[in-house]
Amino acid sequence: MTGDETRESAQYLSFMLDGKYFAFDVLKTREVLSYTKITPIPCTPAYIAGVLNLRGSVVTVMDFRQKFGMSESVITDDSAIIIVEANYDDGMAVVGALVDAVKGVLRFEKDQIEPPPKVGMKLSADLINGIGKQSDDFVVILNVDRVFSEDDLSIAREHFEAGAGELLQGESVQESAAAAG
Amino acid sequence: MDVEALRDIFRDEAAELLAQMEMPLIELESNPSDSELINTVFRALHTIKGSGSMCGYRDLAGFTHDLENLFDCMRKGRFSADERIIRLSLKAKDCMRFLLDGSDNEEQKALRENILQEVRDITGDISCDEKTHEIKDVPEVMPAACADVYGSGAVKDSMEMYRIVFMPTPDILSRGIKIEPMLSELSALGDFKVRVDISSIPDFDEIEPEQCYLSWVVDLETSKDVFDIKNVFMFTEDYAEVVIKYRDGFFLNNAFFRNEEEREGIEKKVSPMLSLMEGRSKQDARQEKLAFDRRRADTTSIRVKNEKLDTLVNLVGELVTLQARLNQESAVSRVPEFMAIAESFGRLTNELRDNTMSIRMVPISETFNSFHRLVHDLSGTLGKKIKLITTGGETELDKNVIEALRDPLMHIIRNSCDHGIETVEKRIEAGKDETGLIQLVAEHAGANVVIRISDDGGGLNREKIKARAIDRDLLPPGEVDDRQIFSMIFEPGFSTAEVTTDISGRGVGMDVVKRNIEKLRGRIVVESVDGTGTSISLTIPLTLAIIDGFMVELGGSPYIFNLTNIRECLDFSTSTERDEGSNFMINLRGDIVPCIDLRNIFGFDDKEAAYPQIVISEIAEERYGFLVDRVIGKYQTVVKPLGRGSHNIDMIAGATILGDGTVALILDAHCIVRSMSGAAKGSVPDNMIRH
Repeated sequence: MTGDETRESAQYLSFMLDGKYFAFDVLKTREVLSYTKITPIPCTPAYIAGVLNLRGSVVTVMDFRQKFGMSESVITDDSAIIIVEANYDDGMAVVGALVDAVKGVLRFEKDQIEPPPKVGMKLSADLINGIGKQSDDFVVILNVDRVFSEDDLSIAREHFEAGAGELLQGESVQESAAAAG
Repeated sequence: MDVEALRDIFRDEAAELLAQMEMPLIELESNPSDSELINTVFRALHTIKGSGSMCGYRDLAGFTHDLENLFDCMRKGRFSADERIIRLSLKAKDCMRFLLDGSDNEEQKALRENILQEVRDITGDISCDEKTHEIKDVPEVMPAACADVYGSGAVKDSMEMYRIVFMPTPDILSRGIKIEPMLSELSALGDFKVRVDISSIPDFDEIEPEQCYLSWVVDLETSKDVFDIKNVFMFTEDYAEVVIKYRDGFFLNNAFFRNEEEREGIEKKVSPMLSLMEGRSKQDARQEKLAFDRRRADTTSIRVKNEKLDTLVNLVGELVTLQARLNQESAVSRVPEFMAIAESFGRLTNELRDNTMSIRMVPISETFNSFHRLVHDLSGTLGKKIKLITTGGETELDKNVIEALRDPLMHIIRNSCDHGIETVEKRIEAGKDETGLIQLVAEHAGANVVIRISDDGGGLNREKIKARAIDRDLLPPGEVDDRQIFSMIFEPGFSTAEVTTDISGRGVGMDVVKRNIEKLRGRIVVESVDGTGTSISLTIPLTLAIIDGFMVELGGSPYIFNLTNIRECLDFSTSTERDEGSNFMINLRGDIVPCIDLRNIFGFDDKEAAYPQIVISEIAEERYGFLVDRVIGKYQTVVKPLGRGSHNIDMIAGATILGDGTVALILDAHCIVRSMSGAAKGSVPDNMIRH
């Protein structure tokens, strides 16, 4: 992403999934919630955990373990939902990610981040901005925009445009903007 | 007020004026001698020019000036409106719109130059002012009443006495209208005497320095006729009452009254003015106040930014949610005082909600009127004669709904013009009037508004549509009912047109109609009789934001149906025979009602409730049952959009936040039924399979 290439060093919010470290650009994250009740939505892919009430607006939450093909999520006291702002073709939207635990904010210099390896990764390299190293652990830095708008999601969007409410969606962006302000 | 805010106001106002100009322009075509229409356009142009140059829209003001000149000439009867002028004015109106939006480019500039050139050709490049007096006796450009005034159109040279009463609204000065120049203009017309009526000046303590408390009575002896006098007051029309009395009768604003016999009727309305007329001073202060109040009520409305309204509606939505929670808590607490408060609070909230919703309601007439232009232009391009008749324009709908309706209506009307209405020759051949008729009707029907677009054209070709649909595997071969066949025209890419015109025929428009109407949770019914016409009815809910919901429980989560669909609830005996699928039938008082097992569709695999219930709902005049775990009951529902990424499901119309803060999903019963009937045919939609 453009931001990362120009900044000398940047901060990342790291979290755990199935014992491994991942991270989002801290500028993309809006807040971290402890686990609350998520209303499941029938007839959606399993990685859509459902929707939750974020101070009056309805936010979709993705189950990242399901999404990355890991074993099923177990909700513990550490389970958390990271609320991020993801860019879509038609504007910014607020979405959530259900993760095992949030670890903290890390700072990486630009040269500390390696490009994603071509082989040996379960995840598509498209979804990864780079890999940072923290003591002995690797931290996979995810590309927020792509992780939340992968192909299967864009299929979902087509469905949406054919069906549900664009009108309503406009409101959602507005609402989230209001929440941000 | 800073300049930018002023410009904002100007833009809003000018856009409104431009929109208002369109109707009279089109009406002029059939009624070229109606001076009121010309005056309306002229006034709009004049205002745009004036305020435009004030706000720094120089190009716009300059451009408008020439147009204004054109209409001034027409107003003075130098020539009457013809097709060329109307076409030109409409084009010019579009150009002004571009200038107003600030989207100017070379192409626009060239277009404007062309228009101005043509305008100058017509006006002959002379300002109309010098020519005013020669053309006074052109009876055909004056309305009927005026012709009367003239007697047999004779030219008047003799002096005439006029008494003019000018009674402005108190806020006239803030409208930027200066009274003094008007009076001096009057005085220039002839022998002039003016009196000021000061009787409505209040006590010193109550005087608002920015308000005008004065009225004027003018005695004028002149050889000019009454229209020259009226013209002086042209721009004050909305802000003042003007009475002009003379030998033949008197004008009250624009209405002409022929002497005494009709006087009684208006006496009550403007008695203080009449007493002024008689030279008395206003005695009855109470009555005088009444007249002012009435006028104040006419002009008192304020402009509010859309965002502010949306925020207000959102806030009221939050409040309704909170109130539901309060109700819940109070019911649990069983403290009588608390419960009483919750109840009163609930009543207030409901009232507040209804009021807020009514603020967002606007009449649909503006949208309707904009289609006159469309039909006018299309009938020109297509070489057909088409007339649009609109009724029920006063029907009110949520502003957002109206905005979302504009495109679908446009597509339907285009389609009617292009495919529905036949050419003049064909119509005469079929024994119809050569002018095709499109009717646009809006009316209330319960919590919905029905908008019907009907034409008296050739109707839909049932067989052609059916053949095409079977061709594309959209319909099974064999007998199908009309409604199903006609609904095919809304399938994406569906078109039976052999040639694609630039107006329609690509099979895209009607697809847009369907999608937009579905977004509004509305439905479409098409009826068509071959040879006599097509009628398309759109049923649209009044508002999007808050609905009366009906809550049920399913798999441990609450779901909400739209209450308007729900007819009754039944206990379901588990012994009823059910096959493995999600569909089964029940016997409801002798009728067979198809039922849908939601638990099965949604793929819940936990144990079914011990005493499931069936919710009977009516969708498109058919009854369906939905099997749910438990019925909870009526629930005030604030509709929220589903978050990004989960709105792919047709069957969920949205979400709402319950009193305890959890999210409940709103079911779209219509979509569920449709996808089930699709599934029954063997094509299970993708999103029905749980991944």
